[in-house]
Amino acid sequence: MTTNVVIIGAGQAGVTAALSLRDQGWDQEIHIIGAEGHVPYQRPPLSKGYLAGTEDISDLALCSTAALGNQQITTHFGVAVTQLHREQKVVVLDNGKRLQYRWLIIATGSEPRDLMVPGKELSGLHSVRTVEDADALRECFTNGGHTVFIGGGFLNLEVAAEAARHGSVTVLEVAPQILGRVLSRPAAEALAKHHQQLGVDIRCGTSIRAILGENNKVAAVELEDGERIAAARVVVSVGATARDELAAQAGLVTDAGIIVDEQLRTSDDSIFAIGDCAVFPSVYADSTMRVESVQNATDQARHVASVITKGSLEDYQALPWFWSIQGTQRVQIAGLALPDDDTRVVQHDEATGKLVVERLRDDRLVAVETINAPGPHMKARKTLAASVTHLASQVAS
Amino acid sequence: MSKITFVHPDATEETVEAPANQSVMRTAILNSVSGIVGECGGQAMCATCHVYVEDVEGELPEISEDEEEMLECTADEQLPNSRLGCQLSAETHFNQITVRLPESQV
Repeated sequence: MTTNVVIIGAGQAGVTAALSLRDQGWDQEIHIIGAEGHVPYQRPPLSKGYLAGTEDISDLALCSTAALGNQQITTHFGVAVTQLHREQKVVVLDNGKRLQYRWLIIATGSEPRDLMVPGKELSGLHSVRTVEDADALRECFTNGGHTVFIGGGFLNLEVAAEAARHGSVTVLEVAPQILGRVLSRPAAEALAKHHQQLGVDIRCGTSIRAILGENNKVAAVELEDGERIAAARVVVSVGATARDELAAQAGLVTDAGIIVDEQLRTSDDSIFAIGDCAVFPSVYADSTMRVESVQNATDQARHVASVITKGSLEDYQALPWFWSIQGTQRVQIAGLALPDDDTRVVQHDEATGKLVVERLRDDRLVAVETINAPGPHMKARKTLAASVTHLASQVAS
Repeated sequence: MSKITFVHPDATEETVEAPANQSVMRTAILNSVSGIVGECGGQAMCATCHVYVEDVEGELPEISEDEEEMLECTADEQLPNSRLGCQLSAETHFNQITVRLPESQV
């Protein structure tokens, strides 16, 4: 029987899994499959430094091809998986190759959610997931003109701040405030204010009826009340969906993502799922959830590497943390808050924009949101991680 | 080109070359030097590229307030020669540097 580990997906999760397996002593074959032809790269800069032109493609690389070769990791890049045969433990690639596995790690990530309005097939509609997406935006921003953003989440707002350096910008958000599901009101308001100073026009409580075109190209966005906003281009970011089709076709249990247990194992003992595509039980949410972040991808990758190499029986319970750069504001979140959790502002300095907000559930600290305050963020991570370990040991005893 | 020597916790050493402006963190990642994580991609937001500077030929930048705050929270203890690898750039700050890697970054 083969002892190979096969990893589907060469993003942050897949690459970290491959390197961590070697780092933790796995001396059998490792294969990593990536649909994109590039050397594996980080996605966060696509909406930040790479978009602004302060970082180039070599700054994005997660590793070099030579480094993967040195680690004896076999790469299959620019190749898609067409089938997964679980009985035979075989993955079939679109170049005809068949890879046998003992352990399979699915790290297929997520993709931008489709906007369900008429006109979404027009050219001039953008979203940011790949290097090519960012290149296309970078090029057309230099033409100036008005850019309309649909969705007021972290990703779109990062891009909007860059767009505002080239032309006028409107952000349309259906909810009553931007970042409403992910940040407390004081933190979201501070960022909204910063964006306004950058010249970004944020319009909350706004629904879209259609995207209107001329000669198959975007020309305007029509709102529910009939108002039309002219647009040279439209950037859409209304959330992401897990890429779980392959897993579902192979009969693994999925529900808006691949369902895994505390050890990140799918309904098949030989298969793990990690990163954006995995729905896992979270001690921080008291429920199952899917998380799209670098932290989640890399911590889950390291966890699965230790399950495979060392037979670790520990549950995955790494503390979630997240960062975003909004214009010049550095936003960080440690822990996980739910929209109904209480909010306590512990520090706010208007001059520097420094803001520290604690989130509490039943008087227990569950998250800390900071702006321009990396020190308090790091301290919060230590405090929150220690309190969860404490809680877990209480439950165990 | 500058030279960077990484000293692992087990005392084994790796020396690699870094082109101008490439940070100690990026150089480690691109050469798959284990022991440096660099999760935030060099934004001084994660403190997973902690190194101990043992020897340097050049002039390192002063530790900013942000970097100092991050260093106070690294996984392994902060020492007087602790730095974040993402803040140290080849040629700009050094021609040659030797950094010791901590036992853990996360």
